[in-house]
Amino acid sequence: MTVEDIFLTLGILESYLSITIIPILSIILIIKAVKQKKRTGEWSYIRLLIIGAFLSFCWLLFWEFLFDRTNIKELIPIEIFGQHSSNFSIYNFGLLLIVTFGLTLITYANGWRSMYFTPFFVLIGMFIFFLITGFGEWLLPYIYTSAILSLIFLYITAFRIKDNGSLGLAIMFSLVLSTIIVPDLVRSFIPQIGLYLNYAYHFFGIFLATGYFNPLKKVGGGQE
Amino acid sequence: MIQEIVSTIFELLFILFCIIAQIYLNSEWKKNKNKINLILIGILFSFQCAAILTLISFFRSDLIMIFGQTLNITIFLAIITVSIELYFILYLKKLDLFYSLPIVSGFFISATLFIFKSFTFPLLYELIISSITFIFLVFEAKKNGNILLLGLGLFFLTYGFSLIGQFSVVKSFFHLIAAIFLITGISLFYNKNLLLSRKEKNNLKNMWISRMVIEE
Repeated sequence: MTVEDIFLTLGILESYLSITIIPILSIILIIKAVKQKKRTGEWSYIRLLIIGAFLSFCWLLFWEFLFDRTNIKELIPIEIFGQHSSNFSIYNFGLLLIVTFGLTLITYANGWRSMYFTPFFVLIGMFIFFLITGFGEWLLPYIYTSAILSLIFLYITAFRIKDNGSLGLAIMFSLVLSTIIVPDLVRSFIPQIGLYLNYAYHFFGIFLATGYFNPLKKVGGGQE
Repeated sequence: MIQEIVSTIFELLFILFCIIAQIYLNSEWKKNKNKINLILIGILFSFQCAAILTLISFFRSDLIMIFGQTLNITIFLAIITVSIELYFILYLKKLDLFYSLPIVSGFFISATLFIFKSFTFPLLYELIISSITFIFLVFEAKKNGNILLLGLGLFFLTYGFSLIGQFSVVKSFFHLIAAIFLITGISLFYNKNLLLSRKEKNNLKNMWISRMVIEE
């Protein structure tokens, strides 16, 4: 068995892990949200926004798996999936949904009431604009800028209120974001960097969801 | 040339009527300190700016800058005014969760003009918002028994529909009609002529839109 074969096997295993772990994480989060609703009588909007981000991530991974590991390409053209497209596609729509939930989290946590729906208005506006004009070149700059802003906010919140949950999410989504950006930058030095990062966020996800991630001892926001 | 002269007269009258309305709104603002009056003054000011730019374009069309494909300052102002109209409705209904909607929609409508040579979507936007504003204000006028709102609704509707006009004289005529509706609304014309009961008349005397948003 050559080194290439090992990496090939690891790549296949990673695809199966991705459609297993993130949906499980989402289900865990949903169960926690429902339990909290039963306990307190009302929904935690922060929790619902995080669930929204995770479900969007599931959507993205699900399609990625189908296009990587099945013959769905024969039924649906790969351009519609558009992982490397700079325009609207199934993949980019998933990313856009994740950053939209991330930005809404910022506005909600800061109490900017008149801006709660702004990220959704922008999403709908961009999509209608794309449907009408076919123009979507601003999509990727918007996604990356919003993603970085959301992550910075999550780190600030985590350290400000000593919240292990926010810190865990921040680290997890930093790893996810790095799987999109880093491989293109350092592929020539570390060819399998994308694979390592994918494994890293999967294992970190398990670590986070099982409640073992508690680096901040004096917790303010709690780790649930 | 005659068309430009007639349009100029109409636009000047429009500006004048708007100034009269602004003076009235300013006096209302001094009385009740309700910021709805200031918002209305701002809306009318943006309409006046658009009218001034239209006047400039009659004589020096080269002074009207065009951004991108078809976005010029006159159309941009029209989009801003319609967005303010939408904000006005949201403010009246206290829908603070939607306050960013006018900014976002205005941005994307402007972007359409920046990138493409098509007036369809800005036109649709203006017609839809103007019609919604009219319908909303008519309902509010009926609900609150305040027919002054009707004048305002007719003003927004007529101004919005002026954008359909293909010739400058038609547009300016619509603007003038809109300003007349506004002035008749402010002068309590509708209250005097459309309300039959003296009791109702007395109840509505000195009533203005600001009553709707004063928090008790």
